[in-house]
Amino acid sequence: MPPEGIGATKVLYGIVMLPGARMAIESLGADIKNRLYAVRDVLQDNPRPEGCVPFPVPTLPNAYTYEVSYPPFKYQLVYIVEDVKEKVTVLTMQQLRFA
Amino acid sequence: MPAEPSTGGQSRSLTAEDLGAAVRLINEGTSHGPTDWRGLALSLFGYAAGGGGIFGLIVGLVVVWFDSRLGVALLVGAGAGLAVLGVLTKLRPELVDTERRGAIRAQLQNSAIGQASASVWRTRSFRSNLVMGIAIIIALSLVLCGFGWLAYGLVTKGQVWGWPIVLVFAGVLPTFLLSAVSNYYLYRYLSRVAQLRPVFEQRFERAVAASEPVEVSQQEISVLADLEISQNRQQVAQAIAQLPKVRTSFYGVVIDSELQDYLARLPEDRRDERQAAREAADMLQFDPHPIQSSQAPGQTDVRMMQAASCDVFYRVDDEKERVVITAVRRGGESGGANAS
Repeated sequence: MPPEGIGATKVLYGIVMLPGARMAIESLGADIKNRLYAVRDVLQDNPRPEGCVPFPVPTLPNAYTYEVSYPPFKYQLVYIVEDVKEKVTVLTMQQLRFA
Repeated sequence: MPAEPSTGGQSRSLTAEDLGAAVRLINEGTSHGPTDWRGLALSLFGYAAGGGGIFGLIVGLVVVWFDSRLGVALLVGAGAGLAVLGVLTKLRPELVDTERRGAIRAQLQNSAIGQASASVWRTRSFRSNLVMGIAIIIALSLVLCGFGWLAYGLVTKGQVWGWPIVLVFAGVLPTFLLSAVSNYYLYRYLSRVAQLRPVFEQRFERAVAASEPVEVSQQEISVLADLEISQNRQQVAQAIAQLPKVRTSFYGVVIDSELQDYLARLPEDRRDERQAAREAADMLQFDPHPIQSSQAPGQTDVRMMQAASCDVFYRVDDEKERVVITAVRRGGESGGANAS
């Protein structure tokens, strides 16, 4: 990724959202849905934003999780970053009640 | 993310809805393997019968041409072993289903109470890979040497020697032992989780009857968190299984930064434009040239399509497998966002 600054072109990552993830987001209320779609927008600017955590599977080194707290639940996006293709694939969106 | 180990002491109030979800989690989490000693024994028996069956079948098919009595005995034994496995698969599929076992293995990886077994499977360090690689090479060597020795005896002497068969068996044995150890850890974990089922069922009934939340210990919450995370990991595993197709056929979709700002500033009563951008992004990632799209008037490289009663404008870069949504315009309106 080129450094940001004068003359540098900001790289935007293309987002792919798997149907399961989209359906899970669409099933939620308007407010949390907007917040989760806002994460999608953040990821296209920066696929490794502050707060993202590497997914704990060594065979998937480019997978990350990003959590949105929305009491009483937490919502977790799991996604894969492909830097060469400048692409982020959102695999799942999961609601966490106990974790 | 691994769950934090239980710190004990603190408790948390759970509503009837939470407790219902907890019971479902426990039921789902314990449906993939043995939860009692009988189940463990049956599971091990099933694996031994299946493994022995395959072993007897392969050796028996070779030996039967030279020593019909021994060969037939091996084949009959193999048939019996495989029949036992078949019956067990039919009656108690959760005990011998390797696919479910894989799912549980993922569960164990994250479990705070399954840490010991997790260490067996989780770490893919160079050292563990090396040890695993050496073990596989030794096992394969034993099997190959055994078969080579057996073949030598059969071809040169026309005799079936016992030691080569023992050698082949020794090569196959570690696989079974590994499976047995895995089964034991699985049982140990699942039996502990299963003990929580009646407790949570009672609490659920109590919470429903009294319409009040119920206190649950931090340790129990920790177990539920483990189950929840592992269930989610299974969903991730299912999503990952779709990835090869996604990588070759899906386009990455970018919503232009200016459009993003515009959509973010829209009042609530204009949410159809936001929805249009989302729907278009969803459709275009599968097919960037949908049949309902057309070239935008006066703009050679811009296409447009309808979504959520709005016109959505976008550019396609087939080489980079990229779609950039540049503007959304409400149907019938002459203006719009960033319609460049």
